[in-house]
Amino acid sequence: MSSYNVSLDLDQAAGVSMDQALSTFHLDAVVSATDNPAWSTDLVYGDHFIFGTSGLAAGPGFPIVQVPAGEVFGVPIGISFFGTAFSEPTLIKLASGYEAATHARAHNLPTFAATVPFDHTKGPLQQGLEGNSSLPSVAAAAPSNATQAAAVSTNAAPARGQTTRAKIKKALHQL
Amino acid sequence: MISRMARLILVTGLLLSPLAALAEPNDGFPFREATVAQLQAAMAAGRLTSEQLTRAYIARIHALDSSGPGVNAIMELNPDALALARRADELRRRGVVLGPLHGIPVLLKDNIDTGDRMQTSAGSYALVGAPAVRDSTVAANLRAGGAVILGKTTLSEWANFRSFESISGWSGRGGQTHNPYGIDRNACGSSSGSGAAASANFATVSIGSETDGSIVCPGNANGVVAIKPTVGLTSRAGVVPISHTQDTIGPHARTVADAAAALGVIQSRSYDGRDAATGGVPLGWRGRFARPANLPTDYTQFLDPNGLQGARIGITRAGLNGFTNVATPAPVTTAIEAAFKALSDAGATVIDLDAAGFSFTPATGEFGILLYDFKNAGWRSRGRRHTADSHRLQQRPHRHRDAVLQSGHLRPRQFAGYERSERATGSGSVRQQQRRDVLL
Repeated sequence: MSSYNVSLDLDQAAGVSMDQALSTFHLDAVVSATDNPAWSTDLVYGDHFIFGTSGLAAGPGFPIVQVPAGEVFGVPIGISFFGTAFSEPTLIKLASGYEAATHARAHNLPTFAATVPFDHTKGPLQQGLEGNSSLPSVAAAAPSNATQAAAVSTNAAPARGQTTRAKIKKALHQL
Repeated sequence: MISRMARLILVTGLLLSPLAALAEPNDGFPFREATVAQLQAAMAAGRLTSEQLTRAYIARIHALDSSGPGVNAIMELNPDALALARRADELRRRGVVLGPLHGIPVLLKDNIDTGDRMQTSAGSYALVGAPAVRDSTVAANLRAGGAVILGKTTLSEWANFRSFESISGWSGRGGQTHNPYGIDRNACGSSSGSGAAASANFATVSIGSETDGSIVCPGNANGVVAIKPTVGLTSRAGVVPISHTQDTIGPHARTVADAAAALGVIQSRSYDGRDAATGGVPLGWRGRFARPANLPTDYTQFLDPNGLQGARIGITRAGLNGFTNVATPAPVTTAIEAAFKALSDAGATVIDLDAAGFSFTPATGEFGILLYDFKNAGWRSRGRRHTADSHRLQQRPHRHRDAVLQSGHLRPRQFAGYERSERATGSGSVRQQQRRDVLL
């Protein structure tokens, strides 16, 4: 590993490189995607960083303004505006222009859903539980009245739960 | 009959209450996506008090953070928040408005000192015990600007400079932070709760810290605006440090305007006396830059809905194809290309830097600098030169590194099995151990 002073010089080279990009191409800012969209938290395998661009500005101590820019199946993704030291005014101007043109966050507000995405993830039998079921009833096949009653009561509870959950899901979408 | 019906209603109510609690407070939450400008206008017109606003955020936090879906973005609520709100209201009644965040509830990452009744623990039990003796410069600036310090947010413990196998958004004290877009998704880090709380409307703005990615990544993951200021624009005094070369403090907010307003309040326009980087040339800069003599007081003056019109933007896809051997999947690259296209759609001239043959020089010295800075920061009582000089790790010697290591709070069992590479409690001297930890 390099000495501290050599390391500082190496990181300054990164800053010089950013400044070169800006001056060579007469740029107001450099833009890249910020990070990959949020992964599912995994306490066994850990974080799933696929990419991240903050390193372009971290070493030289340069500013970044990240702004929401879109979504992947409902999971947000943003872009970063990079500039030289103390270029916050320029980056804020550009980012506010981007925000006004895209309204990316307003188009994709958080839902507090248990998981996302959740569309098209259920199997045919699971979909049947949510009403309009064409599946044969378990109760209908039951031989005795007692079993039938038990089956009906156990079936009724999840059905009511599903309806409630569907309602809540709908309500949550309006958050 | 009546009693049977009453019982039915009661039972139904009990059965549905956990789920009902989840939806109800949101339907009624009046400040969803409310901006600083809207709230200031309402307070100026006498239609809203800071106390009402603060109470509403607290109720929402109770409904969605500590219960309901359980975002877990909040480490601790400020027991004095309502008192601060009432004080802001009282000042406003007397015609005194201290700044753009006057009466606005703000959350702070748990590594930012507040000299009040809250802990500042960086998520670690090792720092729990006594509150900070004084405000960080950032917290002091917020207070002086009339903001209501609403509470502390969860984070990746020690701002994630602790282990290569740490989980973003997890800390021993705070547990796991979740993402309001999908509770099983990660809020990224290390300012996890700061990003998640801004996105979830738990406060109007929140403040995080970044060494490399810790503000912008939670901004990206939680769908909020994030500003990582130039090192030296915001003071790190009173913030649990990683590196005086790279650390910086910045806001998360739902709009660029709100983030810009917060930046104007938390920045140090002149030397704050407690962080050398606010006094001139940050140490990493080797004389290439100095702070501009006349920094703006208000960054909202730069907001421009046509800000991209006629701008020249260089885009780069370098590095977007994966740190490791994991390729970026097509739906993600498609979204990125659409985001890039929006730049030119909004009137910018877009230059593809990769196609033009430009490549950025990577900051290959970074990790070595972080290791050195971390070791020399708040951890060493005689390291009086840098950022962390004023951190309470030094103000209270019994809390310095040796005490932290000996406290037992770094033992693997404290990490519930989620941390496998924590080696702080083996044999050898503390210094050897620390070096080994850091070099893992």
